[in-house]
Amino acid sequence: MIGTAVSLDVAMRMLLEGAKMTVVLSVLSIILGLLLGLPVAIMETYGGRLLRYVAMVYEGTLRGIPLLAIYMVIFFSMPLLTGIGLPAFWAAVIGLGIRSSAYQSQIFRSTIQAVGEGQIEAAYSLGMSKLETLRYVVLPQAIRMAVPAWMNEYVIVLKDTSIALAIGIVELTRQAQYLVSITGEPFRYYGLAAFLYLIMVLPLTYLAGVLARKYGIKGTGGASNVRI
Amino acid sequence: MPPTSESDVLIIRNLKKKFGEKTVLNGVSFGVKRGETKVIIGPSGAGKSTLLRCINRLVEPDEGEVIFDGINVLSKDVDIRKIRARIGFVFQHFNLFKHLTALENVKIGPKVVKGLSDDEAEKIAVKALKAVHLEEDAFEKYPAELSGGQQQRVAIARALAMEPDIILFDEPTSALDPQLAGEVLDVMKELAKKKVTMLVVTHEIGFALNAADEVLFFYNGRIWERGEPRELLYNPKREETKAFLRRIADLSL
Ligand SMILES: Nc1ncnc2c1ncn2[C@@H]1O[C@H](COP(=O)(O)OP(=O)(O)OP(=O)(O)O)[C@@H](O)[C@H]1O
Ligand SMILES: [Mg+2]
Repeated sequence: MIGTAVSLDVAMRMLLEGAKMTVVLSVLSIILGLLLGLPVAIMETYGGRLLRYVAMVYEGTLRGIPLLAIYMVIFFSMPLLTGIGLPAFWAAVIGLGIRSSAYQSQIFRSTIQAVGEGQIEAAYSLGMSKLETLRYVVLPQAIRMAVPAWMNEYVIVLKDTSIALAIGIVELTRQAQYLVSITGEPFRYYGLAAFLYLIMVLPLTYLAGVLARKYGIKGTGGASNVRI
Repeated sequence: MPPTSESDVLIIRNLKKKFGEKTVLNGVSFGVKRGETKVIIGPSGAGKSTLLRCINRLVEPDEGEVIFDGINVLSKDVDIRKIRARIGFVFQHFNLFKHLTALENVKIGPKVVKGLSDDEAEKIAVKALKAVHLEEDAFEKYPAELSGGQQQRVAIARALAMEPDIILFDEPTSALDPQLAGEVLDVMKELAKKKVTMLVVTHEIGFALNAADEVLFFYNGRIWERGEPRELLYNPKREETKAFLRRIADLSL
């Protein structure tokens, strides 16, 4: 069927459909990553030896495995082992989410540690418990310092949604691939897809700057480490 | 004079602390009476900070007793947070909460620790900030926007707002240039006049002469010499005290 002509209108509609999936997938994944990553970071910094160890193994493992391999495990291997199969969409969210949680825990770990020992001692000296210190002194600062690195992480997650095509998710790249396969025009459709990714990412980069200025704490830097 | 008086807010008995092999406190005993200002001087590494930090158990001492308002602070049954809420601590580097304004820094203790309402906490905080003469236009500023002297005064207000029985100061002015140190010392002198109980580690001899009821000279983890300020500072008995005082006199010239 190569050579079938597709009107720009139809092509755009298909690509936007794919872009919508890309956005939904990335938003759910970054949120799952946050819900898991922040507690992991707290375990790594405040936990006892066992919790700390568990959290470090979790983070290390997920950072060490390629996303594609994580998908293969969740979507293809787990059902064989457990008999429970996940719909591809949720497998994609979970795979991307847990992988991101490992990177997010690294971001939050560094900003939690960046809150000086002196402030923690000041909180204890007022009579605050460990939990109150975390809640009122450490986390409000750690979360705000994490904003720039966290926005950057979101951009990475957004781009990595494309890997979900390997388990059959029809997102932006997959739609482009399909259009190329029927029209034989890779330059045009991959080009359009790339353009759409850029349109999604550029405002975020701008927003990151705005948020960093708005929520940055006067006199402190942001998290510097980004996916090392 | 054994420190057993009824009026002692704080009694330290034979306090000992080692870090690894290094003995930092080697049997320290003294008391602080209600309304009294006691000053501790001594060379770097003598164990002055460690002593203060043992009192509210930021550091766990190895041996000895800390009795605060009749309560054995080192006992396992004590809820140390309740004790800390009644002991103010002012640090060398201020340690203000950077994400909170001056006012919020002072409110947070009464709110979170004492469970006061926002209104009540605000009233107390404003009163405390006025007591340290913080300029009104600085109330809503963040620590990074304040001078060192203002930051330290906010830190003192943060301690005052808890209405503590005693305030411990660990070299509160040594990170400040002389002018800013002066405004902090003035506040501390006022507090001494108002009979706020204070235990102050400092090298400010002027403050010791002006405000202290007694000066303790720390050396090698012990109270090496102690006495009424004029006596100890102008007429020290022991060689080490003389050498130390000569050194800080040279520095301030
Ligand atoms: N947490 C710690 N771990 C190991 N050693 C420590 C610790 N805290 C203090 N020390 C050591 O204990 C000794 C006394 O320290 P401390 O801070 O009490 O002295 P200081 O009299 O306050 O001195 P300075 O005037 O320099 O503040 C020093 O040799 C210091 O290195
Ligand atoms: Mg010290």
